[in-house]
Amino acid sequence: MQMKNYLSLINMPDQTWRNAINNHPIQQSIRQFLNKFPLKTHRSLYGIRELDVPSLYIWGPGWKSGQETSFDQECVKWQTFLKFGKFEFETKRSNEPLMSPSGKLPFLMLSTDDVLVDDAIEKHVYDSYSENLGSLTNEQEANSQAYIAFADNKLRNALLYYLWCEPANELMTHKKYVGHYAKPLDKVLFHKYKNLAVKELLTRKPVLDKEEIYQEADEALQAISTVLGDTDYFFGSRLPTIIDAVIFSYIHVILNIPLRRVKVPPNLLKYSERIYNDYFLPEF
Amino acid sequence: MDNDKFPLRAHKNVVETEEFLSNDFEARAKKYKEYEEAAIKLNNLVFDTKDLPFYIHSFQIHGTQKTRRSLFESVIYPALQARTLGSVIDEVRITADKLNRLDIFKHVDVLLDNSNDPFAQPGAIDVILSAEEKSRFWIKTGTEIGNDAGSANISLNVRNVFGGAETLETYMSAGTQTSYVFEFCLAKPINGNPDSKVDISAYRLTRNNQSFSSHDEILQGIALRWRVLSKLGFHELTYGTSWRQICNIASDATLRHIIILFFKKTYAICLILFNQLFIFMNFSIRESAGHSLKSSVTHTLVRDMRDDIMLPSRGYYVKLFQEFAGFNGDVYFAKNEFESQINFPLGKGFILSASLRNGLLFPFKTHQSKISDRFFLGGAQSVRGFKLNGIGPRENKKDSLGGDVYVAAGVSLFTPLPKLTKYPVKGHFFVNGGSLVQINSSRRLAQSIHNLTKTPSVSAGVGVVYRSSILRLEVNFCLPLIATNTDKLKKGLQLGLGFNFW
Repeated sequence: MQMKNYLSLINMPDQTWRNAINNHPIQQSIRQFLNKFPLKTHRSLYGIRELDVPSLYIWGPGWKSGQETSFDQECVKWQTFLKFGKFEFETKRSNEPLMSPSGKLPFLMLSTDDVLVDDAIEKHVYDSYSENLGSLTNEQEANSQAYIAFADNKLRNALLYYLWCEPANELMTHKKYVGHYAKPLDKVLFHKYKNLAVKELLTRKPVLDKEEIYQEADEALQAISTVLGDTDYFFGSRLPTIIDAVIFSYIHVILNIPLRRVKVPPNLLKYSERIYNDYFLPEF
Repeated sequence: MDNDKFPLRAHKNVVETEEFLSNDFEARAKKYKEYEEAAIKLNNLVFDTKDLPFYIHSFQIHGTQKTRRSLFESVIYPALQARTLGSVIDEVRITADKLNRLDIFKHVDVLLDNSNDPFAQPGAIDVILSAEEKSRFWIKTGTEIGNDAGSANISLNVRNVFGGAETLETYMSAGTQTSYVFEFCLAKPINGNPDSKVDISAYRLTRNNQSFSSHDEILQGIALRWRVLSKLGFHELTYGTSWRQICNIASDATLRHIIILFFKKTYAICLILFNQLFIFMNFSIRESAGHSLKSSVTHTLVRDMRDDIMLPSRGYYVKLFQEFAGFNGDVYFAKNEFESQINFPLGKGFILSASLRNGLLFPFKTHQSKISDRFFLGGAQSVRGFKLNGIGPRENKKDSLGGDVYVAAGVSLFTPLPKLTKYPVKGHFFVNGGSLVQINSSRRLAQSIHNLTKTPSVSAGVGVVYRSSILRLEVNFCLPLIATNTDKLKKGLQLGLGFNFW
């Protein structure tokens, strides 16, 4: 009988063999014995509370005092987009890109503890809050993507150049981006961020010609202004879409720095003012 | 002993060999006796004449090339003050010993002679030192194991860089836990004293804390250090500045607000309903991410009177550590740590060992300490029966956040094992425990310290300890007796590999 048992053990496939060992009475009694420990368990002094509201971690505060919007264009873009979606969130001025999984601010922390960056934020908002956002036809969608890429190229170049490459603005940029760090560290990090900005610029322009960069931004704004026309949102949409968040973020930051080298056409001025008033000013 | 006369083919020539050996033995005994007599004579001579006035007239040093004159001058100076034969001999011996310990010479030979100088005063002695310098460059490679981590390292050394017994070391290490270390260190003995050294070092190290706290830490810094041996023990005084980056937060590391709940057992329900004393703190790994600059002065005193570092059988060990940060930079704290261990041999191979450790990190100006400075507790080398850094404040039952105050203690009984008494293997019974909490800036310090007693984590167990030539290995069967619900337990078998065990 015993022999038979052992033989059956040997002939078993690997998994069942392991199960047989694990379910062996000795093994079970050891496990039962271990389960009695620890004999006494305290409750930790440190309780855990769920985050009730998702948080967007941004660079802040804004260029002008009392502004809820960040001084960084990327942050303004996602702030605006979340506002468009009537997504309930609170902003946290962390000013620390190392907190983000992508190494860049902003990032969105959901109450389920998931961390979202960039496109994941867009997807998340579209998935659950699409009723507050406009919808575009396929053709408009393609155009929207093209204009976003256009703005991310020409307008971003002008912004990056103005903030990081103009010696006259170094003090201002320094104060906003690295001013909160301890003494020699701010200089080190300033150079690090500056190098990143210059590297990014050089991927798009082989030669950094100041006049040309601002000229191109001017032209880009003219083109965007023509596309917008007199409509409330881009492509005549009744509700805002992602392109509105992108264009608003650029114009808002350009107007608030202020970057006077670039002329913002009157309809874009009005457009940006309206969005700011609608979405960022507290309602009474 | 010259063996020239030892008969050839001794195995064939037994008689002759035996004869030779007995003669040789006699001859040897005779020679030893002569030596002994001569030594006693010399000793008596020196003893009788030790108070006679003698002085060192000249000091000649042969065989050095790179070593600077000033180094010898500072080492030799005390010997030149000697005015009797006895003190001359003593001082010269001390000088030779110091030169040996500077680790720049292969050997140092001393010869004392009557001065040949015709103008010398009576009692003049010439000292002739002949030394041979060691080669200047050397490379060392090695491996280290400890604290659940292994690493391989290489160091490139230059000896006697500027001729003043300075050493220049470039050290690189790559491992599992401390992922990468680079250190560059220039050390110089003060006044040619091998027991007092100043060094300046620059380092960069990357620490992988993903396993217990979901982040990486990059440290870069410079430090100026003075190491000296005093009657109390070994001191180290350091002034250093370091730039710390907490980064690469694992994507499943969460960010939660942690609340301290102060419960009184009997009123727990009432408290929850009416009087919740929540203290909100943003202790989370993700919010700890970022740059910080620490500039601090530290003092370490180690008094180690144990007979062995890894598995001592007698003696005690005391370490005191103080750190004050806040000269420049953005980190402000005062830190104190005390570690002690005492070992008693109980006879017949039984050893009783007890240890006590505690630490306090008191942040000021800022309302909470940084994770890089906090204490961590738990693990095979710290508090057995718990996982590495498994005790103390924890985020989401996963990431260890570290604490500002801790206390830990342990008692171990080592027993001889039957049939294995010849080997460095011992049986091991232990009870150990500890507690780690955070200081709450809005509450009194006494309150935080009182919290230490509320949530102790204690475990006991039995196992085997083996002390090999390079490390100590422990295999213990651990049973956690008292624990906190957030502790990470290690029930059953736990393996410990390393040098330092508590």
